[in-house]
Amino acid sequence: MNDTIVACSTPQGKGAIAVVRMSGMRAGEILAGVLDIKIGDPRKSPRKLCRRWLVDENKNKLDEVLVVFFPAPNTYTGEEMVEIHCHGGEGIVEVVMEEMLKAGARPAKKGEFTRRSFESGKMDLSKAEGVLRLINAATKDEVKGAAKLLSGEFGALLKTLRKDMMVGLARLEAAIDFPDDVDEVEQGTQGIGSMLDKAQKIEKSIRKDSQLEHDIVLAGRPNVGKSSLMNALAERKISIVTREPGTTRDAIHTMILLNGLRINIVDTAGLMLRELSSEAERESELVAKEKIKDASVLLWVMDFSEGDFEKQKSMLPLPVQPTMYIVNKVDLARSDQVEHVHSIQDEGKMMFVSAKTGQGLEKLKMKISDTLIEEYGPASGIPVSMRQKDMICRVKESLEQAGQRMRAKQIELAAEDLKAAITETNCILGESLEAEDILDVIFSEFCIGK
Amino acid sequence: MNVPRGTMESVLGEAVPLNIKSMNTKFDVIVVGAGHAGCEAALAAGRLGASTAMITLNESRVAAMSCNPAIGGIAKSHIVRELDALGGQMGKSADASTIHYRRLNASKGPAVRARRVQCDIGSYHRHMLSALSACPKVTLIQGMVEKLNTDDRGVNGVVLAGGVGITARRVILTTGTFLRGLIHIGEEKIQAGRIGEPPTFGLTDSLSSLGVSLGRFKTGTPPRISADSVDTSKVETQCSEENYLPFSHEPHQRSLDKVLCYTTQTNPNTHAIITSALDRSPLYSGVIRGTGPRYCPSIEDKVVRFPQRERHQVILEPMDLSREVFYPNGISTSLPRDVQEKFLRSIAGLEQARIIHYGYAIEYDYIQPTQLKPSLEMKIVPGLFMAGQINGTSGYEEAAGQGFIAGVNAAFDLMGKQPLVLERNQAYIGVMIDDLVTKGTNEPYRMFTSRAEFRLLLREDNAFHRLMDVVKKIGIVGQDHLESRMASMRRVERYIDNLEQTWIPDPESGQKQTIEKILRRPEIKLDQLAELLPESLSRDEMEQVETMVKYKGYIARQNREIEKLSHLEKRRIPQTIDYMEIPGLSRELAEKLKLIQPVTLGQASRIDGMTPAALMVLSIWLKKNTNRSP
Repeated sequence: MNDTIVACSTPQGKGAIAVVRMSGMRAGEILAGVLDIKIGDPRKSPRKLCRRWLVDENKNKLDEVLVVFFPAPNTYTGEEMVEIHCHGGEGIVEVVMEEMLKAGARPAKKGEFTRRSFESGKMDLSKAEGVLRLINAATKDEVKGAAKLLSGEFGALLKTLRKDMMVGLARLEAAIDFPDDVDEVEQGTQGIGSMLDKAQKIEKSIRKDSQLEHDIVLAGRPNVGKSSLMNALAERKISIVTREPGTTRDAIHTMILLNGLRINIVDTAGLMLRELSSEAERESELVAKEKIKDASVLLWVMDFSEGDFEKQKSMLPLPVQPTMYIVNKVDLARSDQVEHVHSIQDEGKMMFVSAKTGQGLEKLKMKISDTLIEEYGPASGIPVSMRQKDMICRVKESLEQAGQRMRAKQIELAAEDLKAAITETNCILGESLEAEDILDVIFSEFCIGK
Repeated sequence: MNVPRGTMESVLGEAVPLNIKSMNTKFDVIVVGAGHAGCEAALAAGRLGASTAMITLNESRVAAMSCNPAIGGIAKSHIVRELDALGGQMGKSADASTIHYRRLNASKGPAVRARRVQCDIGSYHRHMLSALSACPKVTLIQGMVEKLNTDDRGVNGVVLAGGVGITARRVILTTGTFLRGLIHIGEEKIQAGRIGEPPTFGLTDSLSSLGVSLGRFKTGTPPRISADSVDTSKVETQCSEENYLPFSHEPHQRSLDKVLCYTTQTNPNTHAIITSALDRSPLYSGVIRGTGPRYCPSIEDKVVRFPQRERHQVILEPMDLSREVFYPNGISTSLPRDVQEKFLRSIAGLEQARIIHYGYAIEYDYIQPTQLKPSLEMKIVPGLFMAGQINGTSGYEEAAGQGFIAGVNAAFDLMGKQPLVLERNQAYIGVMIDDLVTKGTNEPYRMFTSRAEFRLLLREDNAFHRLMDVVKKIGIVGQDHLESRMASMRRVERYIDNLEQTWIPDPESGQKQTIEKILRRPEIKLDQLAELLPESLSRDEMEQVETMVKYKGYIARQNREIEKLSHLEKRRIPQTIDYMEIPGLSRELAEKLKLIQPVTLGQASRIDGMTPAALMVLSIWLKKNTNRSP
C-alpha cells in the first residue's frame, strides 16, 4: 500500500491562496486530525468545498481554510486525496505542511502525484509525459502540441502505422512461406508507399522536446555587423554597436518569438582567425567557438563590402549543421551589382541583408523559422524526446529501404526492413511483437494450404 | 542393424515375424516408433555407439510417408539440410528416391529458396531401412509397446504386448499419430494409428500415471486415386525441374527417373457438393474435438472459410515410379465416402476417378511440449525423450529434426556429456525446439521461415557452415566428409576475398570498382561476373558467395542483434530456483516460469507474458542470489 504524500501544488511566493494536496490511504484521516471538525467531518461530504479552521495539536487556530475530500478510486492518483486551500503566504503554507507531516504524511517527490496516477493505471506513459510537457509549455502552440500527447493522439498515430506495417509484413511473409497460395508481392509495394506517407506525416507532427528554445548564433569575422543584425532581429538595442572591430567581447543573448518558436539570439565576438595577443581576445574567441558548436542554427555573417563571398564563406572555422550564410551590408551594393546579388541569392546558398536598412530581414526571419521547423519540428508539434524522434526517423528510413528492396524484388530483405520498422515502433510504444502475431494475420487473410 | 532372425533380403521384403525369445532385451536406448523421428533417433543414437532397440508395429512401414509423398518445402528443406550437415539420414534417403524436383521461391532471395522433392515412397523406405541395417548398434524389433517401466531414477524400459520386457535407461517416444489414434471418415470412426494399422493405447495410461499431461490434435489426408482413372488430357502437366540441387552434402550417385505431376482445380460445383454435405462432416458436426493445423486445412475448411474463392488448386502427385497411384495435394478431407467420390468427380480430369484409399481425419494424443527440456527429455521423467508428432508438431522434416536431437541427447546422456541444444541463430531445428519447449503449441506446429528471427543467417546454402562446430562436437560425420566440406567452405571464403580485391570498370559509371561492390547491386548476378575470376565453384558454392555478398549489410545487422542478445543467452538459470520467492514477479508469471523452467535468461525472455520489467527483476535477483556459486 502507498503511504500518504503531501505537497504544495501552487508556486512558491505570496498569493491570494495556495493549494496543498495530499494523496494516500490516510489522506482523509490526516486531514480530519488537523481541522476543527466540530461543525462536521469533511469526509462525510466528499467532493464538496468545506470551510474549516486549521488547528494545531493544542487546538490553536492557525488559518481558516477551504478543504475538499476525494474518496478513492475516482481521483487523479486513484488514491484517496485531499486539497487544502489556505491563504497564500509562504509562512502559512509552511505551517500547513508541518501539521500534515506531524500527522504522518511525508513530502511528495517531484512528479510523484502523476507517477501514482500512471502506476494505478489512470493514464498511460505517453499521457503522463503529456502532463509534464503541458506544464512546461510556454506558448499557445506548445500547449497545443502537449495536448496531443495528453489526449493519446500521438500513440494512436503510431498504432495505426504499426497495424499497416504488420499487415504488410504478413503479406510478405505469406508470399515467402506460401508461394503457391499467395502472390501479393505487387500489392506489397504500394502498401509500403502509403506506410511511408504515414511515417512522414508523423515525423512532421513532432518536435524535439529538448529544443524548447533554439539558439540562433551569429558569428563571423570582426566588424561584419553581427551586433547590428542582432539588434535588427530583436527590434531593440541589445548589443553595443561601434565602428571599431571587436566591440563585442562576451556572448550576448536575447529572446524573441518567431512563428510561435522561442528563439534565443546569441551575438558572439568576431573571430580574428589569427594569433591572438591579449588574453581577453583569446577568451572571447573561445566563448564564441563554444557557442558556434552548440548552435541550433548558425548564422555565419559576412561583409558585402569585402567581396569574394566564397572565400569569406570558407573562413567558418568549424562546420555546424545547419548553417545559413548571411551577407550583411547589402545596402552598399552599387546598381550594377544588384543583378549579381539576385542571382546568388536565387541559388539559395547565401542570403543578402542589411541590418541598417532592414532589407532582406523578413526573408531571413522566415528562413530561420523554416529551418528550425525542418530540423526540430513546429512549435505546435507533439513534443517527443530526442530518442523517440530518432526512432521515428529510423522507422521512416527502414520503410524507405523496404520500398527500394521491393522494387528490386528482394522481398525477404524488404521483410527485414519492415520488421526493423515495427520493432522501432514497438520501442516507442513500449510493446513487442511475436512471430505468432504475424502468423495470425496471415491465416486470417489468406487461404493457405494445398 | 541386428535382425534377430532372417536375413537382409527378408527385411527388405515382407514383414518378418520376430522370434523374441532369442533376442537380447537389454539396450542403452529404446526408440518407440520407426517413422521419420524414430529412424533419425535410432540412427543418431546407434551411430554414436549406443546399443539401440527400435520398436515398430510393422517393419514394412519403417519411414513410411503417411501423407504427402514429398520431402522438403520452404523452411522444411532448411531442416533437412541442417540434418544432413549434422549427420542425419533424411536428406540422403530423399536424394536417392527423388522422382520429381522443384526449387520453391526461386525468384525470391536465397534465404527463402527451398528444395522440394517427391519421392518414390517404396524407395525411400528401403533406403532408410538399409541405412538402419548398416548400423550394427541398431536392432529392429517388431511389437507393440504397451507400458513404460520406471523406477526412482526415471525410465528403465518398456513392456511389449504379450508381456516381454525390454530394458534401457533411455527411451525415446516417437509415436506419431498412433497414441489412441482415431480415424474419421464422415460419421464412421475407426480406431487406427494410420489407415489399416492398429493404434496403441497403453502408453497414454503410462504417461498419465507418470504425471504427464496429454492433449488431442487432429490432422488429415486426401483420398488416393488410381492413376489409370485420371484423364490427363484435361489437366495441366508439371515437369520436374532441371538443375537438381540435392539435399545431401555428399549426394548419392545414382538417381531415379523423373515423373510428371499434374494440376487441376476445384470449381463452384465441387464447392456446392461439399457445402451441402457439411452436416455429415465430423469437423463441422462437432465430432472432432482435437485442434487441426491452420496451414493445412481440409478442402471443407477452405470452402467454408473462403467462400469467395471459386477454385482451389489440386496437384496430382505420383506416389512412386510405377505411377499407379496419385496423391491429390490440396484436398485433404474427412467427408463421408460418397461425398468424397462425388466432389472428386466434379473436378476436371477426375470425372472417372477411382478411389484407392478414402481421405480421412485422424485424432491422436500429444503432450504439451513445455513439459520437455530443450534436450527433448521430459522434465519429470529422467531418461524419457520425445520427438515428432507426440510433441505437437506436424511434418516429416520437423519430426526428423527432433528425432535426431533426441537420439544424440540420449547417447550423450549415456556418455555423461552435456545435452546438445541448438541456438535460434544456428538452425531452424534450434528455433523449433526452443519454440516448442518455451511457448508450447495450440495447433500442430509446422516450421515457417517467419518463425526464425535470424532468417537471413539460416539458409540452405550455409547449413554446414553455421553448424560446423556442432557437427564436430557430435562426431557422427566422418573425418573425410568433414574435410571435404571444410575445403568447400574455404573455397567460398577465398572466392569472396578475391571478389573484394579484384577491381574492374563499373558497368554503370565506368570507374574502377571491386567486383564485390558491383555484385551487391540487386540486378547483378554472379554468373555474369564469374568468368573474371580464376577459380570455379560448384553451384551450391556460387549461391553461397552471391548470398553472402548481397546480404552483407543485413547479415551484419542480424549479427549485431545476436551480439546484443548474447548476454541473455549466456546467463544460466539454476534449476533449483524457487520463482515464488522472487519479490516483484507476478504470481501468474512466477507459475509460468516454474512450469517452463527456462535454462537461460534468453529462454525466459521468450516466455509468453514476460515483460522487460519482469526480466529485469529476474536478472537482478539471479545476480544477487547466485554469485556465491562459481
